[in-house]
Amino acid sequence: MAKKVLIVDDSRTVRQQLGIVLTEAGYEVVEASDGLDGAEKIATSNDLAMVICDVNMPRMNGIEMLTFLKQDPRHANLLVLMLTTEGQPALIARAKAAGARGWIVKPFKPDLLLGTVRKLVGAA
Amino acid sequence: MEASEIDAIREIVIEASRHVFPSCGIAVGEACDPPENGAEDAKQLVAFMGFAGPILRGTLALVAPIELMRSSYPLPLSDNARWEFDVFDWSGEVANRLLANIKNGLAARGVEIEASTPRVMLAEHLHVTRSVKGTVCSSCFASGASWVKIWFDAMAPDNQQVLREPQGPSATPPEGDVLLF
Repeated sequence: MAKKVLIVDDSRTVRQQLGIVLTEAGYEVVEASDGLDGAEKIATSNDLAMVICDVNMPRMNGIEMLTFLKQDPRHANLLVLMLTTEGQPALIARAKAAGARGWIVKPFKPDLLLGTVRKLVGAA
Repeated sequence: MEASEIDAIREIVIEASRHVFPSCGIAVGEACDPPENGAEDAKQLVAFMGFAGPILRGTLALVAPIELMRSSYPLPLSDNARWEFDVFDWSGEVANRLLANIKNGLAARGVEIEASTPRVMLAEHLHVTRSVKGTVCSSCFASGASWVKIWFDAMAPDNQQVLREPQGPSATPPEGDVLLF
């Protein structure tokens, strides 16, 4: 069974761009349109290999979502990569402290992103 | 704000525009002032974002013909009427990246801002009034036979110095690079 990656971004275009890269590499992709949607999808999934998450989103931002899900011991080891236009060191430090595994400033480079996903969760 | 600070912020906005638009598939020429009430394309997209910080607050507005934004869309478009929603979404993302670049430029001068999420609207025969107090940058970039306009409005408290001297190279990670913790 293909490894499953959750993409959390309020931009449908970005979700599709990421989704194409990951599905062409054999991963299964699930989408969420903001942090609240992402939190709900994580709560109802027990087979996610990784989450790729934007920061600035309506209803619940990416760091809020990360903080919320890491309170649950079931998700302590869930890998979360932040993919965002933000790049301020203080915000990156907050994400790291909240349990993020990495940070990418948009736009992403498909080969680099895919290499990172493979490195962290293995091939699809 | 002092005139020199307005000029410096305008340069940050123009530099960000020159970087972001081509990376989003929108080739741009030199910046110029927008035409006052010239012949406008019938359908235009307007993407708005607000921002606020301890010193500076304002808005960014990006205006472009819908056909220009459609041609820059990075994926195959839907065949049905859905394509307009896709282009709306993309336009918001372009505005998002533009304001993020401006934010980084301001941060290098000691100015912190937080941005809203983008809102995109479709306008027909849009006319914009003259610049008002607070308009730091009102620029139009040629893009092939088309154009894209930027309005950056920013207000700061009276008699307050806004910008610090540049603090050195940007602390923002390069776009696309993966920073693993």
